Amino acid sequence: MLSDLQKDLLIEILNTNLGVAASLLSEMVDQKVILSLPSLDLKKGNEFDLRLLNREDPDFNTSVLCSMRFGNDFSGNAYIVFPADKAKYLVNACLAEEPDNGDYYNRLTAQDLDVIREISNIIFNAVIGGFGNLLGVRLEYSLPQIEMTTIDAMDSGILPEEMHFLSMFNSFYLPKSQVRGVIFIALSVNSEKMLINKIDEMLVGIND
Amino acid sequence: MTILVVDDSIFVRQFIKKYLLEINPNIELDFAASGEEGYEIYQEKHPNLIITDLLMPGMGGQECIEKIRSTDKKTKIVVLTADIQKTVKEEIAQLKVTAFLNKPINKDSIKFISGLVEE
Amino acid sequence: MIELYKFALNSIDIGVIIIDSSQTITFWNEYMERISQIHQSEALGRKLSEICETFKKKLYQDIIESALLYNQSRFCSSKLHKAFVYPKEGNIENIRQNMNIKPAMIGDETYAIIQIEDITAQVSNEYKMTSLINELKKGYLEIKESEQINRQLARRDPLTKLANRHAIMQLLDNTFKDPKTLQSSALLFLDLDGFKSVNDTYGHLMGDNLLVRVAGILKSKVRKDDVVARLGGDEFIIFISNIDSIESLETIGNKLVSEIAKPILIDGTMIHVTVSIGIAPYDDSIKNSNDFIKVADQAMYCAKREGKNKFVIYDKKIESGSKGKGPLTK
Repeated sequence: MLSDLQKDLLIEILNTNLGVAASLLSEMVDQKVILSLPSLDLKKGNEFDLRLLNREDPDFNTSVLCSMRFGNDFSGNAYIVFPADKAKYLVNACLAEEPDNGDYYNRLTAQDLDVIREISNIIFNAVIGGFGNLLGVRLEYSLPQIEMTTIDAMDSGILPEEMHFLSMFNSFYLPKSQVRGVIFIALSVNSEKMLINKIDEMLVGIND
Repeated sequence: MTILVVDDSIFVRQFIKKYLLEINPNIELDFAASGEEGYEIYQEKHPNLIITDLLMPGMGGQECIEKIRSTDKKTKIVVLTADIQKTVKEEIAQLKVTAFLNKPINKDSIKFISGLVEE
Repeated sequence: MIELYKFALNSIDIGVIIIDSSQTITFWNEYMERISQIHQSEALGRKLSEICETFKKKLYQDIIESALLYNQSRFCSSKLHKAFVYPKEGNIENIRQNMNIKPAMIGDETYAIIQIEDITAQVSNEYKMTSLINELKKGYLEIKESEQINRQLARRDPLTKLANRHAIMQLLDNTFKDPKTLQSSALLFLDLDGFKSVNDTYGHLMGDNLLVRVAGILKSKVRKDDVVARLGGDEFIIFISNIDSIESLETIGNKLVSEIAKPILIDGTMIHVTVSIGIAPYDDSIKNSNDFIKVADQAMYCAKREGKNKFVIYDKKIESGSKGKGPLTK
């Protein structure tokens, strides 16, 4: 269980990393990125359900899912999800181009998916890399996988119940192109322990 | 000399309290955890300096600063935030804040802030 | 064993460059040789940015340093970056490559592994496909547009060969510019009764044949200068000019109603339909073609309500509906 103070500092650190990620994304697409307040919880394995990310939002029915595993010492899975019909806007924003409105021929090409791979790579670097730096740990990660998927097809309940994980969740919004997205990180229990240790170090002496 | 700290993070509030008072024990500190609270305390106490975050639940830092600046151009305001986007910096600059500091907060930022107080 | 790995790296279809922490090239595979036209003997021991100018740019220096110093992997897509390694000679405009840089730590030494994936052919195919699709789309739109124009230009209903809606509207519009003709004109709005059941009972081919026969009957019963048009479906319009009296309108109304009420033999089958006709003599309250048609239509509707197989002449002076033949209003 996380104490209020530990949770508070973890969120503060997450915010800082997200701030860097937002700034990088904002540079790439030349638009303002609005971040929401992140939520952070310790969850049981069987509570791992990507579908919950977008339950409220019909826009997310067909989504682009960027996923990445990272390991060794500091390990977990990270995801970025956003509606598929907005994906082209994001890609074109990188090129400072306007897409044709609602054009049938606005399908995502393999090259577009590569751009999305690059964007998510940059965001993951900032967020996960930020934690890695904090912990002074060398991170191992692969390139993000990109797939188009419907909500129902997303991963859920794939972890055993006893396998707890630390869930970090945040949503972002680009008002100019109306692209909404979420970023979700599931940290393994070991990694969570590493983080907590570090946080406790930082909290020493701060409390009265 | 009063300073108002507006930030929803307990850690940030404690950090500032500890290290700012270490440098200058004579500073009187007030704390708020949201934009609304911050504005209320500002109206009550009229601090010399306000340190504020931007992303907070309810009324955010930007809205709070706009409210203050609508009637008060003189109180010093320092923005301390994780949101380092250029567009955000530009918007905030329009509000004529005294300084824009990036998080994570550290002792250097505290030193800088205490320097502002001296002036 | 090393020989096997070297062989493997030289066999794959991806360019592999390995640099050390000072960005000196320590490995340059055969694929790199092919796409750059630089042999590994020229590349090994040299700085990366000397061999590949692209990497001199600040953006890429930052990316390389992030990999070497901060352990960050990075992927650069061809759409945003175009390409990284160009041949010494030849056309470089269309070259597209993805680049992937990964840090590696061997003992205490840091290296970066750079992969260059050439997707020029893929991009070119994608482009050709998209162009083809756009061409087809354009062609399709052009055809649709010219079909529409043709339909408008055509003045004949293809089935009955009568004037079509467009033609009769034009005619009416023109007549409104000619007050003399307008004053003595009238519009007849005809709607077949029971047409739908002919279609339902005998099929659409029979229905079409019936329309053609009705068109023929209408044409034969009006004067040379009167215009018969098919509005659509089983609706017809007849424009009559030079009317001298209401009586002549009644005469034509009776003629048409009784002719169409006679059974028609089509392909060995006796078809029975009747017609409801609304007749609108021109008066000053009629301001344009649409008004004219509307008035005639209203009168036709009265005929339908009063039992069909009849005509009704529109008369606005009579406000409330009354039964019987003769002038009537809604």
